[in-house]
Amino acid sequence: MNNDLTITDLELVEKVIGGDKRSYSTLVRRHQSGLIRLCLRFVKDMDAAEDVVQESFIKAYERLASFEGRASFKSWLYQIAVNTAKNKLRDRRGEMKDLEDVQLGVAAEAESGLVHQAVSHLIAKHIEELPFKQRTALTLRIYEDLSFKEIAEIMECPYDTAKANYRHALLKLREELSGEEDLKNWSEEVGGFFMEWTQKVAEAEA
Amino acid sequence: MKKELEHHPIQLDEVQAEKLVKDRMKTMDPGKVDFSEVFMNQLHDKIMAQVEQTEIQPKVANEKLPFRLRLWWQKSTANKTTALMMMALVMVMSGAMVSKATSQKAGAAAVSVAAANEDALLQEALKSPEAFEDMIAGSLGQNDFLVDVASRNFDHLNLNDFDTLFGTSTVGLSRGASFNLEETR
Repeated sequence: MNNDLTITDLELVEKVIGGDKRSYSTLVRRHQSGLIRLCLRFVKDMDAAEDVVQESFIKAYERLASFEGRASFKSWLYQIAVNTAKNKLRDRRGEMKDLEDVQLGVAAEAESGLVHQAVSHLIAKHIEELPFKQRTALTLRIYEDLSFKEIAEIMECPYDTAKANYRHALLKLREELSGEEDLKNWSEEVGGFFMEWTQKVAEAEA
Repeated sequence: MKKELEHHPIQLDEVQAEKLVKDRMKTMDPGKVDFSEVFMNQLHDKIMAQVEQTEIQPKVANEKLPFRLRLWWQKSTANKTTALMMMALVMVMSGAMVSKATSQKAGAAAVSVAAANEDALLQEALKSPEAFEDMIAGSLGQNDFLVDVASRNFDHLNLNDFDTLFGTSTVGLSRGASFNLEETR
């Protein structure tokens, strides 16, 4: 397994374009776990997520000559994956899967306590109900720790739009969660964090 | 960036608050999944098997607008009113350009026709001034017309042409007149 971290993605891309297919294997190993986590957040089904990941890597390979390196390879790949997942969701519209029915092909991290699990599922349910752009911005920012510049590149939108989508997503989420009966028993510390955050954002924007 | 934030406590608060939100949401992350190495190897092998049967497509030039241009366009047209105003502006500008081009073309054609007519009249006048005099009607006298033509074509007239046009009026001036004529150029 050649996963030499001293070689940059861009150098690997150049090698692949030059005819070295093995270098693409290194790129796949580098990005497949992040990509499948991301896809799973959108399609909620392991088989579908696997399909999206495979399709994204193949599309990226086919279009490799068009990759100009203005954004990072990761951002470019994630952009392809987000668009592929979006198309997948569009195709599957109407056969919405309930979150409880999700069958992961691998063991999920041990959940501690029913309250935690319930809250997690509520958050996931409301994230899923967000408009696609807001959901994408939120997922990339919260769970992938990406900068707004990277999010803007992936979403193919201006920086401010990416930021606005993220903020709207959080505000909407807070609004939805505050109306949830089940969350009334949620610990005050966790339950109050949205309030605290939105207050700070409102102060900053004033 | 960090330095900037130090001088803006509200922004720093915002960053801290966002970090808090991210941390809390991550602890409640239902999608946190650990993948086994076997699973990852299988996925890698499936992808590479497909890659083996795939060819890199040649680069398509100008497949899309440059990213920055697209960003600028998206930003400019994000607001519907702005987009409509831009479209209206483009339409008005194109209309004005078409109208200007048309009038310039018509003007050039008119100048060309007038010049051609004038040349033809001049040729007629040079061939036979008497017949030309008969042909001219209206308030414009022969001399008025000939002076007008001569002044417009001054650079191209030689002394013989001048004498032909003005006939006896130049008789006697001959060389001296022509000399002066040369001098005045």
